[in-house]
Amino acid sequence: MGKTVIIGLDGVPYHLIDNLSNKGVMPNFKNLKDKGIFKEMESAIPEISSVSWSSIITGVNPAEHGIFGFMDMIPGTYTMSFPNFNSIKAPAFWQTMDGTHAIINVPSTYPAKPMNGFHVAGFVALDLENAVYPQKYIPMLEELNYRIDVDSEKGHSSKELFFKDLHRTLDARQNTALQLWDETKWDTFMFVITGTDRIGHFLWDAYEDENHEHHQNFLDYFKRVDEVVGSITNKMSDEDSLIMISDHGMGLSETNVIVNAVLKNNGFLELNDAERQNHNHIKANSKAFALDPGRIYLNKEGKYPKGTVKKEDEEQILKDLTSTFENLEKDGKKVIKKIFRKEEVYSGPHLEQAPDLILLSNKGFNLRGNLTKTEIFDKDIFTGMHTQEDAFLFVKTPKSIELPKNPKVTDVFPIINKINGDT
Amino acid sequence: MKPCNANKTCWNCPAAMLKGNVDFRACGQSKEKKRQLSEEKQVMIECSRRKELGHFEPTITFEQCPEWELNENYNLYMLKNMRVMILGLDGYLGWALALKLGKLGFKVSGIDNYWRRDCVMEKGAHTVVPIQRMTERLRAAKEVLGIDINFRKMDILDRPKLKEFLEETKPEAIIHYAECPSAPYSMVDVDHAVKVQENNVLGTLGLLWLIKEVVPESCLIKLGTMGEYGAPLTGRPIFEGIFPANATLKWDDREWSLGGELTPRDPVSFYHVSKVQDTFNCYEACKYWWLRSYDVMQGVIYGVHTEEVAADPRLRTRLDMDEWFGTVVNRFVTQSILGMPLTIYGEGEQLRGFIALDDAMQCMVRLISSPPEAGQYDVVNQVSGLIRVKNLAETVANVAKDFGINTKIQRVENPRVEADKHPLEVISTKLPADLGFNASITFDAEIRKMFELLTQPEIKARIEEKKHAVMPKTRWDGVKQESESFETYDPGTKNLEDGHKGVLHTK
Amino acid sequence: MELTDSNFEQEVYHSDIPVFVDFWASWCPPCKMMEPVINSLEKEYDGRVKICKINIDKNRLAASKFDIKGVPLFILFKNGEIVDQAVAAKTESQLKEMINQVLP
Repeated sequence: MGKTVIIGLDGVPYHLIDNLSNKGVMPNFKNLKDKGIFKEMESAIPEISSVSWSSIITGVNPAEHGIFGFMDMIPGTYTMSFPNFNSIKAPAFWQTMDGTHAIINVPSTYPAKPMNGFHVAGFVALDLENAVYPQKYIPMLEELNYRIDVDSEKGHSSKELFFKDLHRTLDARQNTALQLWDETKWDTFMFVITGTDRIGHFLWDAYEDENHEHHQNFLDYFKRVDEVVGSITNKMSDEDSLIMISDHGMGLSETNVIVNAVLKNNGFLELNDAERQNHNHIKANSKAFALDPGRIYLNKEGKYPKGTVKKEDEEQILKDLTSTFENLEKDGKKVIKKIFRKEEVYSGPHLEQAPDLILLSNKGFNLRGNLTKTEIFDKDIFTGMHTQEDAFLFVKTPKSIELPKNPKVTDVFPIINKINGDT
Repeated sequence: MKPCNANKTCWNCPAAMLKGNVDFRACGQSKEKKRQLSEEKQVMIECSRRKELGHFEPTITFEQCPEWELNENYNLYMLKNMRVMILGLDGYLGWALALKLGKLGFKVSGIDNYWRRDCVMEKGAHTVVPIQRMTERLRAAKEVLGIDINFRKMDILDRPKLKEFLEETKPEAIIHYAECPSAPYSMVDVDHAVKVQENNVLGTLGLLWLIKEVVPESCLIKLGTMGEYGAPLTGRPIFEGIFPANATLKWDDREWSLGGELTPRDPVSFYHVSKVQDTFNCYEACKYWWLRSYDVMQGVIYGVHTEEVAADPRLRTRLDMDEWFGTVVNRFVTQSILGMPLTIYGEGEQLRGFIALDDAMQCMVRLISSPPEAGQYDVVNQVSGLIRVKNLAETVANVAKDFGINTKIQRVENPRVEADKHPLEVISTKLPADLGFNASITFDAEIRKMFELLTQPEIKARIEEKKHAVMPKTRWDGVKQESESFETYDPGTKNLEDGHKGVLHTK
Repeated sequence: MELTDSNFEQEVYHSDIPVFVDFWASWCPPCKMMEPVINSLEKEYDGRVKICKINIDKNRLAASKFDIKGVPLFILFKNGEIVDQAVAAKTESQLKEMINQVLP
């Protein structure tokens, strides 16, 4: 029986991998492209890694798996929490699918839990000890100098050191993957590269601008990524199936948009004075507040300690918010592309936990959940931002299966199922 | 009124996994700063009960947290299904507490090696209130009160077995009653003294190491005793284990604050010494390993009554009257029923703090529900009233009259080496002021309940069977000889107004 | 008053009146015993000197700016500058002597 291999490239948009494969920077993928089906894929809403990977591995939407963002609020309080693998409320495919699975570096799967096979979690992971199942593999990972994540501090301080770190991390990840490929028994092998997201955030301008001093370094990194992909796919037989995906796309970030500043300026949000404000400083008369990237929550009575929005007023406030964001412009350009009500994009038992409105921005506008800033627009060193509509999906399989016309991240689990023969 | 523990946070809660997320420091000295993660990092915890929250700042209050539910009767938040382990579950206090906690919805586990039963038998005595064998007790607890108690016969010194039990049950609070509480027993001879200190000191020491290894977030609530402090003749106040900042040491024209230092101890038997050792072992363990602990300096305990033990004869807790294990009020009531004059030692001027059984249980419930923060060693003086022994005898004699018993009082040779006439000023504010403790039982009321129970024919017969065990024979000087009686008098004939009056500060 | 990472900068460095800060930790018995003394000082110096405390475990950002080798640590600030500091439990009169340095 053929085995299934899933390779994830975090934050790689369809057009980049298409472009670089055509230009000869990614020859291995060029080879593969003709042998399978290559499509754009829609990311989760919101389009961030923790939500998207959760949707990918469970096959369900956030109202079913419970992960709505990198940070969330503890029910009944304004205290922020960082959901992790303990927080996810639907099983990952490797917990329910038959067979043995080797899962390497899927983001948001820390702490690792007992399963049939091997699992090392991806970022955010507090330590290696709880990121690995079974723990007997920890010495091997330590010997290979395995790192969970790239050191982002370097991205801020020195681009040279950043590139070094990207490569070192990728090397260790490749060595780990190849060793585990050989040394363990598995039916499904999932391997995710996350440096691609990191380089996108810090250096997207280096990709788009051929004259950028790091343009070649950027391409060299993707060349190396392609080599790693090749080193894995070359070990596959013709009976095996390959799925390659990204969790979201990436694009140029021109301006940050501080959603809470918009809310403050339009009378929806007020904070108590303090040097370092946090969500506990939200004044009771506030109608709404935002969390990263563009999730808006109504300050509902009964839901939050200082919630005052009554049920009968919700509809009007939602309309007012929608109108405010529809009209938000910078230099004549509209900032917001789409505004979703939660019922439009989510369905499931955890709908109450979902944000009431989710904003999707137009190109170049990077929505941020910062609470304290008062200026709506600003810039920082990040030049890349996530995009929602152009992640990619690639499937090469001897099985004859039908792919959805417009795939979404929640379709990946069913595709794996179909390939493995389960309906 | 707001429950006293409403504003406690994750920092106090045993479910918060702080370990690894905070620096470990000691002695008020901080470790050299390690060059590691950026200083910006806030403390993040995981909750062992609400794993689905992921990581967050430990700022949720008991009031906000759904795991802590309000108990209206106590006006106190209690941790849902809190796992508690009672060491010494078969004893006078252990059994009463097991039933009380079980009834409140706590998940009770515990151990005992029945040493108490053996010791009392060694004396040729028995508990005057009949109690069942453990199997029957557990069955009755289930039948009458609907409580499941997870009990193992075990010695606290059997560390491998105890470790296994701790790993299985993962208690969130450990109540340590597994010590020999008898001063006279520790004075019998060298073997007894060694046995007491071995069990008490080494038992506690071993327990601390196990807690550190298996359940470091759990709160250790252990019995100390007011007797640790002694009764200084200067009459200086007995603080709650630790000096306040305005207590000063003046010498050589200089002055220092004693704030935060442990108060002096002046134990009055080898048993009391073992409790002082415990205090230091606990204090150190909290320092080194960031454990949290309450040292409960309990006054002289007395009484028979709690709602739970009174629910069924099979649920009764023991009551001892012999010269080793009987505490003074319990002894006086049984002596009165025996028709024996109440034995006050020396002049009977000893001033002691007392607490009735159910009040002691109320305190424990409050302590269990308000854990200190990790790393904190805290001390409470658990007393509800101060009284002189000779006044106590008069109170007992008075109540006895209502049961048709005429009781006399006798002064006997004091077998102990202790101050007879001494002042006593006790500070006991934490329980009433911070933990909402309301002493609800008067001497009079509890003593009355005791007479009601102990004059029942079956129990009265049990008392009479063992009257030979009552008179003090165990002397601190080692001479084995029954104390001589100096004088017998009728209640109401002595001047009760002279001498020291105890002072108790509860605010 | 209770200082936190949120308000430390504002309350200490931008204060019109001198500020006295008690750095404390819950695992430190002398620190806990200083509580009533600090409360008393707060009443005594109301309006003249700002008497504050800050828990160093819960406010690591603010605490990390000082080289804290032992607690309790008392620091006296005037116009944003450190005027005096002391470590270990003190009596009320000893602290008053320290604080009075910054009063006319």
